[in-house]
Amino acid sequence: MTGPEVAIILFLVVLLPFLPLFLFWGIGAWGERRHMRSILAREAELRGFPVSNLRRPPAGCRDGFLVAGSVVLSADAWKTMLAGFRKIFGGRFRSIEPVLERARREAVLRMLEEARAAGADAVHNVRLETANLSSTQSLMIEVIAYGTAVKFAK
Amino acid sequence: MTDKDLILTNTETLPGYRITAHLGLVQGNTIRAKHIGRDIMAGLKNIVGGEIKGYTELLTEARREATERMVRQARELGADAVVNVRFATSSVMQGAAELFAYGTAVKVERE
Repeated sequence: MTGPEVAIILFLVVLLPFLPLFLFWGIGAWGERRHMRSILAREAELRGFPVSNLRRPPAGCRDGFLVAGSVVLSADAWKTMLAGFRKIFGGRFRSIEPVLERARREAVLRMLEEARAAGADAVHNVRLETANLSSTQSLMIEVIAYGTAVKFAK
Repeated sequence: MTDKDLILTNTETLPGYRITAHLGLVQGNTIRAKHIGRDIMAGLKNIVGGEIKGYTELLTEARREATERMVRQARELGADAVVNVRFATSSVMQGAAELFAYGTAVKVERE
């Protein structure tokens, strides 16, 4: 065997196990960008809808009722692997921070969409709960957003 | 106040109403297995990332059930509303999630 052939075989042997991971990285990144675009578009649509985590709704509100939104989100294998390295070296988990952020924003959006569909004018006392559902190393989180939807007194 | 429209809020007061009596803590819970029929899809999603819609639906349904149980308890006490409702999810054992809802049952009258 000549030099270049050996180099190619070595290259393939070393890199081949990692190829699927690069593929997951691509799919995961694409999915993340798509989700983020959807979140930004829906947030823009809801701009001006009053939402707060004030414990007492301001005066002039009536007809309070509970609204909630939830989402279960998982990280891709690439992110999970990066997080695995992070656990060894310490520091900021940059790869999975966006996953939690997207989950929270998505849950809040679903809650607000439910409130608006029910004819509410505002949502107060919003609470966010995060739960880890994964029984393995991978990240699988559930976020619940809930609050009290109110109507303005006429 | 009629019996059937029991109001739920997570604020300590009820906008537009005055609380006349506190009837105590009411709660409801349910424990669901996560891995019935949906584990293949969830396994795939753990590789490529993204929302696991099957689980979102499962947990939403479970939370509704927990809320219903809480409401039933409140009705037995003769409450008009449940205020300061809190939701929580906990992984009680591998492969199972517990959802519970709790709040304070109250009697109210319109202001």
